[in-house]
Amino acid sequence: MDKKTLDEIYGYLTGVFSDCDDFMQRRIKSQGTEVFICFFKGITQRDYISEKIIKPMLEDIKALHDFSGNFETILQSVTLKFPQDSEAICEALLRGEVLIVIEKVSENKMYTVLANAQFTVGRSITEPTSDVTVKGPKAGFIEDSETNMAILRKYIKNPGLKYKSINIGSETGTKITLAYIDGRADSKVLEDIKNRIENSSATTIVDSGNIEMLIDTRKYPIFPIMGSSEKVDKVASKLISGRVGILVDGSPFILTAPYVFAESLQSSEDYYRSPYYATFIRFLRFFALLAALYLPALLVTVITSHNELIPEKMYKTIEEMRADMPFSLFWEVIIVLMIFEMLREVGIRMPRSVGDAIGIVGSLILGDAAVQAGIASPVVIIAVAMSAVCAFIVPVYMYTTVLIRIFFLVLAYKLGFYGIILGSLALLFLLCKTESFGAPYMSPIAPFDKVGMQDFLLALPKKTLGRKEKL
Amino acid sequence: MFFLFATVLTASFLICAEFSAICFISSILLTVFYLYLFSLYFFCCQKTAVFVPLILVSLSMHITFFLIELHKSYIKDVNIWVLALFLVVVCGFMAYGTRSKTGVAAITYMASPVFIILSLLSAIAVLTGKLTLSPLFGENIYQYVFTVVSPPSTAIVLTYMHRCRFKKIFPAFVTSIAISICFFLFDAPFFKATTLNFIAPFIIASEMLLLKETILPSEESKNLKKISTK
Repeated sequence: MDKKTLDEIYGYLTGVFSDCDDFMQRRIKSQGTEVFICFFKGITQRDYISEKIIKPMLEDIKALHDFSGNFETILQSVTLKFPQDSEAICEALLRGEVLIVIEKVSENKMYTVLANAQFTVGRSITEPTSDVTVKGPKAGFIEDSETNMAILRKYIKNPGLKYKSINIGSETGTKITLAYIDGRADSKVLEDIKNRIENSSATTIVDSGNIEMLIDTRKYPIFPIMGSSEKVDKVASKLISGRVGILVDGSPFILTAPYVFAESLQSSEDYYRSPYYATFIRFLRFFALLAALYLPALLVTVITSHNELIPEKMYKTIEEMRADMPFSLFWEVIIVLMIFEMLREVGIRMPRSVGDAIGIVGSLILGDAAVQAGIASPVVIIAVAMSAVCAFIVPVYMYTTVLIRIFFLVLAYKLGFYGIILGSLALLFLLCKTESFGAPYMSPIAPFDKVGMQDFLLALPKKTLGRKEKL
Repeated sequence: MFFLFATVLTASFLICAEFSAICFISSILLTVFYLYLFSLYFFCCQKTAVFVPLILVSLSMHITFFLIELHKSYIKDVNIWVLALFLVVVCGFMAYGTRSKTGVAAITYMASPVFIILSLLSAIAVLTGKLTLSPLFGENIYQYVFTVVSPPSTAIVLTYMHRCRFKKIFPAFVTSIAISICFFLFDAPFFKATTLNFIAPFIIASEMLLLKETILPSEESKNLKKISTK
């Protein structure tokens, strides 16, 4: 301990926490024994402090006079820790712990201890707003990581479930907890994630998204290499299948790694319903992803460069619709796409009630008005709306899809269908070369894994649940 | 290995199947011969520099074929030189690889999804196409030159990327012939054109990869173990 007397600690702490109205302190002096107690209100349980810490000391004043370093004789607190230095004391106080310093003036001895009295400020466990399912558990994670750890422990009653905590962020001192099942999670992945977190020089960590960005060392992070979910059952099943979970204090989103492309097509609900229907839905998701990427580009290329690919009658109808349009098809699609992206952004940022109204105004009234005014043709509105809606079926790639869709659109406009094919090859190359903590991103397709393919587009719950996946 | 061989061989066969039956059959026979020959060559020697002129000729022919095919079929209002440049960029990107994966690994990884797409397209071609009478002979000498030049370059590329005896790649060889026949016998122009233009860049990228590895061998290439002869 770098501070030798109670006055030194008192002076240091009152200096560090000067002008902090929520910093509470109390000094008690009795017959050569001096006690100093301090904590932060709001993040500590004041009843607990008075009942388990202050009251036992005051009730048995003799024990306090005879105190010789054994805190368990005078405190009723469950967890006690002995700080190594004054910095550790500051960190612990900010986490919601209580500092108790006892100085025997006559013996010139000082004893310090930290008692855990954390008070969790947070909401109760509710159904998550993302990853909504009709069937299956409704529990979602909350902002408090300790509650999240407890919920996970409730789902996985296995002594192999381990938690390792690290504090990072020089400004925020955020607690990051790695969750994994011993023997199932790859120790190399675990070590890799731990090293990346520890070696990061982040100052501010307020959400799991910060951690995701921080430990992603790729130069061009186009596709996410970590899963993110609010659903407890989803994260629990991922841990069972050998993933490492990252719990960030303050964020209800739990990160899982490694993450592969196949996971984006899966939903936890697939395992709670008929495997045939789940398989159908997975195929549907896959085609929706393709539609989200290619639909506007295909419309542009088919109408402008390869109109022999569609029935003549259809082509003529589309051309008639577009007869009085002031812009070329490419610019028309771009304008409608941009309007949609703006409306989507507004819908997300506005308060929910206003957002819904804007969604209706934007999608119905504005779309109809644009057609009536001759700014956009109905076929463009349909293609863009379909493509935009399809992107929501695979939420992981919601933002990536927007950029790739525009890239394909430009290729279709400049190079026609062959541009789209070459662009697709480039995209496939990027997907195949991506790795998520050593696991190939396109597994089980590339490299091909026959067993893994059974849970890619096909859903076979009995065989897949509980199996350690080969990545 | 299966996917790599099947995809690159199908690309090579499909190009010759576009010309005539004679070109298609001679391409298959010549490929078998060269695959066997190069598997023996790579068993005792690993130098590829001597094949550079052949690969260069084959590469330029494949790029020319790609552009001619585009020009004569669907292309409209598209600058062919911009497309050629984009083709070279994408293929070069695949051949060079990235920091995390060399071109050898990237192309090997890509082979399985491309093969799955290829199989789907061939199935669609059979279902939607009708039986066609393909010409027995080709129209000009260029096609026959192509048929003679393309097989050795394909065989060099494949045996360099995965050194093994012909008997080990026999299933992939048969699969690639089966897929090529699906497109050869059934006339589904759109899917045939899509397939050809989807996998033609693959064979171009593979040839670029061999040229790149000859000049700038990657660590992976240096450490390539001797052939598995089992």
